This record gives sequence, C-alpha cells and structure tokens, in this order.
Amino acid sequence: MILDRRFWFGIDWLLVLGLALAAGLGVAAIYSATQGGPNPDYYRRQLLWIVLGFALMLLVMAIDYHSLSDHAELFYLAVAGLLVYLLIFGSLRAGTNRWLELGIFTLHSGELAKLASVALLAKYLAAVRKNRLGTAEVAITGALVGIPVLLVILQPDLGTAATLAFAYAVLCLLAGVRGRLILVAAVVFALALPFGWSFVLKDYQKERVLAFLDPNLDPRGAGYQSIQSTIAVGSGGLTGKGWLEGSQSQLQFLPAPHTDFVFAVIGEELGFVGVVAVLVLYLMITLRSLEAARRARDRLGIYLVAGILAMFIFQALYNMAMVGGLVPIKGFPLPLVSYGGSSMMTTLIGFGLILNVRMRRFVN
Amino acid sequence: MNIYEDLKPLQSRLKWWRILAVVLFVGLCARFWQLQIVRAPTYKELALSNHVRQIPESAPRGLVLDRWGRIIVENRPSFNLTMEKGSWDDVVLSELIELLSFSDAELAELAKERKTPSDHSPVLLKEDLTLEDVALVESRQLELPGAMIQFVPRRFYPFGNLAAHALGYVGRITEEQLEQERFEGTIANDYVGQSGVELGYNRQLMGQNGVQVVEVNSHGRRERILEERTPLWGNSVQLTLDLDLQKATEEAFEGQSGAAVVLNLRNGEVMALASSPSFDPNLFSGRFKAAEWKAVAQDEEHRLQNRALQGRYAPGSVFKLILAAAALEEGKISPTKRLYCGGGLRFYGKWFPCHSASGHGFVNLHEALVQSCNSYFYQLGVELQIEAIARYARTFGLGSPTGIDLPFEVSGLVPDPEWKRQARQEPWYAGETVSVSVGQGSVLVTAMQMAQIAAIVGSSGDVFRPHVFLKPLPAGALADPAPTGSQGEPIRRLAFHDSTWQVLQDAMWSVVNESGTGWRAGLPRVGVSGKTGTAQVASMSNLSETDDDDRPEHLRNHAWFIGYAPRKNPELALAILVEHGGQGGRTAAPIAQKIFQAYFEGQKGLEADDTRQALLVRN
Repeated sequence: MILDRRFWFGIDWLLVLGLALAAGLGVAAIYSATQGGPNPDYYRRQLLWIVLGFALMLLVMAIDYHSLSDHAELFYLAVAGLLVYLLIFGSLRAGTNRWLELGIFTLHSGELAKLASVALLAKYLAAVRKNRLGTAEVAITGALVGIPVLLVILQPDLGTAATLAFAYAVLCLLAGVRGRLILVAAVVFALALPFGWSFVLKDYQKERVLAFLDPNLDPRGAGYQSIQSTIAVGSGGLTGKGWLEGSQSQLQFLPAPHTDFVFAVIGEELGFVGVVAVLVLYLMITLRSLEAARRARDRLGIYLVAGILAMFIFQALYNMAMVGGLVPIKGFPLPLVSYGGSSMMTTLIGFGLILNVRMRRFVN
Repeated sequence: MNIYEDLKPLQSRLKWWRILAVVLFVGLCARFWQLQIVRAPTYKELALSNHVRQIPESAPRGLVLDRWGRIIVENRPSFNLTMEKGSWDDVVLSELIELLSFSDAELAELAKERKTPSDHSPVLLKEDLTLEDVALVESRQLELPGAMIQFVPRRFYPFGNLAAHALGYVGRITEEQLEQERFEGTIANDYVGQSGVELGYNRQLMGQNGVQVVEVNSHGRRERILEERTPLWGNSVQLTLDLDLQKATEEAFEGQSGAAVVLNLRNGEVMALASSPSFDPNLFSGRFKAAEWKAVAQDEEHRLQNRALQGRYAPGSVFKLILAAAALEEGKISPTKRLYCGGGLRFYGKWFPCHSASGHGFVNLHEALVQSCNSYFYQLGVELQIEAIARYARTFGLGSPTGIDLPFEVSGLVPDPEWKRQARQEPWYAGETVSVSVGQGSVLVTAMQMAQIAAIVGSSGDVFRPHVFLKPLPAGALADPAPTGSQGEPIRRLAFHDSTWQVLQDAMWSVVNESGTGWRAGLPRVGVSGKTGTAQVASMSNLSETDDDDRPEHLRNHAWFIGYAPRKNPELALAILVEHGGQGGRTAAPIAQKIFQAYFEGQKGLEADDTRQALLVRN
C-alpha cells in the first residue's frame, strides 16, 4: 500500500513539513544546550529518535485507522497491565517508576498510556451516535480514563495525568455535554483542589507552586529555575544572542536546557524571532490537524485527531507558558523539540494517526 | 463502517477550538513580546551580572627610599580569601570556617562585612592566608564553589618601628575619606595612607588598580577572561631621611618618651624625625588584627601621636634666645649691660624665682644666656612688653606650622593680649609677661618649631620650609644617593644685625663648651652649639628645678635641648624633647650628643653603594 501512488497523494505534506522543521529546530537547540555539558552527543541520539519516529509514523499511516482501532481494547489492557507491573516491580529513576527498561532504551510508560487511553476513548465515543453525551456515557468514559490517570498519579507523574484529563475534557466537550454537567465538573474540580494540595502533591511540587506565585521567595531554591528561565528568554531580546552564544544556556544557569527548558535556549539564542518562528510552526501544526479533524469522514476519525491534538497542544502550551514564567514549573517536555525518545516517537506515532485519518477521508 | 454519519455538530464545535487555539498562541506571543522586547534591557543586565564578574586587582604602592636609596617601605605578596556576593553560599562558608581557623575577631568582622550593602566586589572572608591555607583551599576548589584566593600586595615596613611616625601607615579608605579631594580617584576598599609620608604623598605612591573581567558558570567557576587591565605600580618616593641617623636618634632615647627633629640647616631637609615611643606600622596593613590595632591606638603612651609635630610643650629657657634677639634688635639692652640676680625678683607683688636660689649676681646678656638666669630675662621681658615678645616669637616661626610636608602639624601658641581676650575673655595680666619671658606660661611650641629655631640661629637668619620629600621616582627606577648639605633657597630671612646673631651664637657655643648647662652635648672635634630648656609641667610656684627629681614622673618637667653643629659653617640643626626628663641639660643634651656623633663621626653614606646593588636585585 505504501507503494500505492494514492497513498503519497493523500499525505498532508504541509503538516509533515511543520513536524520536520520543529524537530530539526529541536536538534539545533539540543546541540547548543549540551555542548558544555557531559553529553555533547545527545543531538545525534535525538536525530536517531526522529528517524525512528518518522518510520513508525509511516508504519501507522499505512494501516487504516479503523483496523488499528479494532485492537484498542487489547492495547489499553496491555498498557494498564504494564503500569501496574511498573508500580510493583519498576525501577526508580529520578524519583519515579515511570520508566520501562528495554535494554539500551528506556520507555516512558506514561506516553504509551496516553496513546492507549485516547485510542479507546475515541473508539467508545465514536460508538455513541448522539449529538450529546448522557451522564452514563460521561461516567463510563471517565472511568476509562480514570484508571490510567490514577495509575500514573501513583508513579507519580502528575503531568501525564493532567494531560490525559485535559484530553478527556476536550473530547467530552467535543462530543457534547449538558451545561449542568459542566457546572458539576467545575464544582468537583474546585472541591478537589484543596484535597489534592494536601494529599496528592508532594512537598517539592507544593514548593514549585509557591515558587511560581513568588519566585523571589527562595531565589536559590525552588524559584531558581523560573528566574533563570525568564532571564534567559528576556535577555535574548529581539534577535537573540546567536546560536551557541547564550550565556544562560552555555554556562549552566538554565536548568535542564536540552529537555524541559529547551524553549528557553531558543528564546535566548534566537530571540523573539526564534520564539515566534516556533509558535508559528506549532500553530500551523495545530491548524492543519484541526483541518484533518474537520474533514474526517467519521466520528472515530474526529475523536482520534482531537484527542491526540489536545494532548499535544496541552503539553506544548504548558511548556512554553512555563518557560515564559506564566505557570508553575512542571516537568513537561516540549513535544517535537525537547530531547527524549519516548516523547518524540509517541508524538510522531500520534501524528501518524492524524495523517492517517486525513488520508482516508474519502470513503473507499 | 461506511454508514453516513451526521458530523455537522462536531464540525461546528471544532471551529471554536480553532479560534481558541489561535487566541492562545497569540497570547503566548504577547507574553514573549513583553519579556523579550519590553523588558529585555532589565533581563540583559540580569544575565550579565549572572555570568560576568569583575575581580579587582590591587596595585602595589610605590616604594619609599631613604636619602641613600635604601628601601624603607615596600610591599610583600599576600593572599586573601574572598567570596562573590553573586555566588554566596552559606554551606561553603561554614565549610571554610571549619577548614581554616578563624579567630573571633575575624568572625565578627565577617559578620559586619556581610551586612554592608551589596555591590559587585567580592566579600573578604579572611586576610593574609598562610601558604598552607592557600594550598588547602586551592586543592578543594571544586568542593568550595564561590571561594576565591586573591593575590594582594600588602604594605611592608622591613624596619618595623623605625621612623614609623614619619612614614605613617596605610589603611582601608574610610567613608569620609572617599569624599575628600585629597583621595580623588580612589574607590571603596582601596588602601590609602592614613598618616605620615603615606598620607602626605598618597597620590604619588598609589598605583592604578587593575581589574579582571571574567566569565563564570552557574557554579562560580571561571570559564574565561573577557577583559584584563593589569594593575600599575605607584611611583616611588625618595626621602631626605638618613636611615642611619634615624636609627641613632631613636636608639638615643633609650625608652624615654619624647621627640627629636634633625634638620639639614642649609636647605631644610629633615634628616631624622623621631617620636618615642613608636609603633609598628605593619600592624595596620591588615584589617583583622583589630585587637592589636586598638591596643596601639588607645595605649596610655599615645604611641600613634607624632610628638615632633603634634606634641605641644612650653619652650622653657630656649625661649630666652628669642627674648635676647628681640631686646638687641629693639635696642632695649646693650650686650655689655649687667643686671642683678638675687635668686629671683618680685613683680606686681608676686615672687618669681631663679634656678639659683642664691642668685647669679650681676650678669650680662651672654652670661645670662649661658647660665640661663631667669631674673635677667624677667627684667628684659617687662622692658620689651608682651606685644614685642610675641612679634619676635612669630618671626622665629612660633605660633604657626612650619609647613613641613607631613600631615597633622599643629601651630603651638604665642600668647598676647589679643589672643587672651578672644580665647578666654580675660585681660592680659602683667605677671604673665614675666612668665612668658622665660618660656613658661601659655606659650606652647612643637619640637619641629624648636629645630627650626636652632637652624635659624645657626644660619644667621635663613628660614627654610622643612621637608622629608627629596624627589619622586618612576616606579621601579633606581635611586641615586643624595649627598647632604647642598645649599637651598630660603623661603625668608630674618634680617637682624650681624652682631645680634653673633651674641646668640657665642652664647650657644658657651652653653655647650664653656661649662654651661648643655655641656653634655659637647663633642670637641665637631663643635656643638646649643641651648637647654626645661618646660614646666607643675605650676609656677615650683619653678625651682632642684626638687624636680623628687617628684613623681608624670609631674616632672619636660627637658629641651636645641642645637647645631659645627660652629663655623654649620650643617645640622636639631631639637630634642624628653617628656618628664627633668633638666634639659641632663637628659636631652646627651641625646643630642649621640645624634651629632652618629652624623659627623659615623659611616655616613658609605653603605649607599651596597644598597644600590640590593635595589638592582630586587627589581
């Protein structure tokens, strides 16, 4: 099928170009961020992930998403089992047991959980052929998402849980819910906040939130990352200090410059021009994906695209807002740009599905 | 799966998502516009202070040399431990305190230092580290981020106490000094002269501080030097002081307190200037030796005070020289006229005694000076009146600073009715004139002024501005030995009759050489002339010196000797003051003898060539 001319004709090349450009910019930023550090070869590994990611994307595109959706339950159960297994036997890494050791490669289990949950959610919602969800359906889909959310919270990985919850909310709203239900959800969320503060958030997470509210409370401690990040971005000015020339990035003032704060490296070295370029790329990717959803031939396609896109946008916006000092520090990578194999490959697999939906918008 | 689905409601909801996405991205754009365009200047500065450090490098001060080119003041290398305010770390600090032994004084100073408002200069933790400490810190550089060893040249006085008052000492510039014109161009934490030559010639001696602008990473480790300005040495200063003579002068005091000024009579060069007891200026080169510093500054003997320039004493019988000159110039007396001394005189109902209770009998001016007869000068003073006495005293330079090129010289006091009205709101009493006639009462002089009087009489009226500065030398240049005795140009002349000078000079010759009060200063082969004096500490009624030895020391009189040598074509003039020394002839005159001996019979100038060799090696 890959050899079929129609296959290549159906691909949204603009979207592919956007993905490739963002990933390429990421490689450049990672190269700059790691030159002074202990891992100057990370950019090469990132290149490998990108190549692998695009290969997987191609593979996913080759198979009709309906066929893929047939195995959603199996995938979902396998991932849930994996999460439970990791909770019990997983190796602690960086204080969490979210990583699955696969020889030379360690897989971030949360990334799999996101894909599996959204796939099953889309499949279930597509089966509901009404223009508005009933309470029962909201509850059932809530339970579907709730299980992996709870499991990743226990890891603890609040970021992935929040991403999943966001995607769930977006899908529900897209599927249509009663206003009353939205109100109830809002009240429950508000009531859950103090509970979550007391029982779910760890001390370091509370510190991060407090540090966000006033970074100068503890400028050498929890507020440090936020302060250094804004200094890096702000000092970049209009055109930046030049690639490999950012003092904040090169002299290790910036925390995690190749992963969570890679956007700050771009902000410092390429300036406002670089930042706008990245924002435009992401907006283009978003709009092209929404276009794929709009033109999808069935609900399954729409929900698949919307769910995957929601997670992508949520992470991207949160990461950029965090670098801009707008939200508390949270260990989100910037999808497509930050260093990391799991994120890169699952993101590209996700976009493989989105492209898949667009390619098959005409009934065969 | 190919059944038609009504997707319209979903598609219309998607439209709203598209708008929301655009709004969010535009919002982010606005935020980064605010950060990167509007607030960019602030953040650029913050980034700069994050990674750029300015490390000041102190410039070594210039050398100070004596007239033969010997180094009296130099610098020695030392190491300070500092920490950047930008990378301050309490954990590292406590590790350092554990690693090196800090004294209580150092910890107190450190606490004070940390409270001072933040500038970019590093905080001084410990001064003048031992080489062991330096090695200890350097070897743990990685575990002690932010800690820095700074090389600092430190002022060093190789001869310790010698000439301490003339040379002065250095100290960190004070807030008040920063405002003064004298210290223009200095910055906080600079070391500047605080007294003596160090202060008087601070501008010449101070070098130009250098700076190293370095880039540091987040751990405070230096990555590279961005800019460097090497410190420039200060210029050297060659003084008129003769180290050998200075040494002989200080040793001659043998622990007695007092002051000595030795002048070159032909040009006003200060050959030696001593104040006893002395102190070690090396103590002031550091900042943390607070305890020792205070001990010196507050001790009962007032070691820091330069008695030669700041000590004010009654001139005693030395003042009679001025009375004699005044009476002769005013024609009030003929040198041959004899006046009677019966052991004292009664004026205005009050008894004014002479040293000799039995009296000197009939004495002429020469005899009266040689035997220091009070009765004779009481009568002369009453005849002259206080206004004339004051006028002549001022002609001899009393009542105003000599203008020596050292700081903090005092004026002394020449009393007259005008002064008394203003200072005490009282009229002048006639009895005071009687006291002033023999150098007691309110008249006050410094040893510096007294040495100048000796020089004026010895040179028959030439007045020079005394000075310790010989010439400036470029940094690192060799000094040529300066021969003594070149004739200088006087700033003014006392145009008295030759006969007047002759009377004074003959009398001073006899005081030392013809069984006068100053015979202990005598050196037959040199030919010393002089005049003794005894400055009263107790009140007038105890004027008789005979019982002075029986008094407790702090009530004993101060002893003076002024003199010059040789008799013909004199070279050297001096004034010696011994505090509570009793009679001038007994304690001050022997000191003068030793100084003259050292100068005229010593090895003057012979070591100069050796010193030049030493200088060559040093540079």
